[in-house]
Amino acid sequence: MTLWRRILAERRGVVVPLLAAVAVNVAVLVLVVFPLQASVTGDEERATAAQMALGEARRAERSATDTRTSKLRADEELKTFYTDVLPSNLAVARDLLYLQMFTLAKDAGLAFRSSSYEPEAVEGSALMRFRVDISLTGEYANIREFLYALETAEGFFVVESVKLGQSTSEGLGGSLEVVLSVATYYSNHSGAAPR
Amino acid sequence: MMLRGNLATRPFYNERVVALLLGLLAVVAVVLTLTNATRLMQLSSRRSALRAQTSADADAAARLRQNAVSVQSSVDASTLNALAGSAREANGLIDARTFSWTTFFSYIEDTIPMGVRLTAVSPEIEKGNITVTMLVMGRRVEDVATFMTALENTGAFYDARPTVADRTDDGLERVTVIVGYLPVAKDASAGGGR
Repeated sequence: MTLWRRILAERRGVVVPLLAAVAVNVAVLVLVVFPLQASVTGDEERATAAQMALGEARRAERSATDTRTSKLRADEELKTFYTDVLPSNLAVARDLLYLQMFTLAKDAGLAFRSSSYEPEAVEGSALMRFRVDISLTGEYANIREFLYALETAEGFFVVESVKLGQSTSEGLGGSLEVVLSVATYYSNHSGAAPR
Repeated sequence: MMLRGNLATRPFYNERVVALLLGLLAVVAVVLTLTNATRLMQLSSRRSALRAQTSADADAAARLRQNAVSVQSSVDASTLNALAGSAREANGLIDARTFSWTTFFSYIEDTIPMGVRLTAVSPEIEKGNITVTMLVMGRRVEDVATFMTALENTGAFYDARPTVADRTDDGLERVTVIVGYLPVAKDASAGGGR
């Protein structure tokens, strides 16, 4: 009997349990811990994918909510624009282009010569366009003042074009004649929501 | 003379070395056991947490997607298109309303040569781009060309070009000029001008 065999035989009660414990641990490591590790790695990948899907869903939800919020805000702003900023009907538009224009022209020191009015439907819109071609005479500085007054007035005036020329009226030598095309817009159906 | 061989049937061996080796084996067994146990507990706990998290994330994602679909369906495409059309129209009107004739004439006053007279102006605003059509009368072609160059030199006008040109009975050059306009803040009061 060799020395090692003798030692093993003499210490069997200690050696065998110890070797068995090491063997069981190795078996647990190989058969349980490593597969569990692989399973957890798979779970981590699935968790990452789920998180990405959640992020995507959050973005989609936020986008939808933003769209709805933007729509509501745009709706509100458009409502304000169509009802409070633009003239509400022809009568208000007429006041703007007839009465207020005359007052502003007079205040700017311009003399009235002629005007022509034309309401027309705006294609593809619920709005009507009310336009005036107004001919006035005066000094250049008066014309500038009038344009400035129109720009800064509360009413919704849109100066579409300006034509300038020497006045042909007698007794107005040196003054200018200006023909302005000014428009404003109002709802075609009073009280109805636009579009 | 002494005998060198050991004639004992059960000779002594170094028990300390054997005890040390057995101790080492025991330590390995204990360390392995502890490591395995710890790792198993950690992995089990991590797996449970991950699965719970995955499940919660999937549920939340499904809920959010459903909510998004529900919100989207409350905003139908035709309403949105109509709204976009109205917004475009309103923006166009606001752009036209906010065109500053005062600023525009201020530029013209700064640039128009003595031999040129502006007789008609009409701006056109589309998608925020302003194109101004001007009818000008000049004594000479050079005067009109100088005017166009001067406009561009202000930095507020670009791509000035004549489109129609003829000569009036008075011998004046009558030119329709189209020019892009990008107004910048300028001190333009109502009064000034020639």
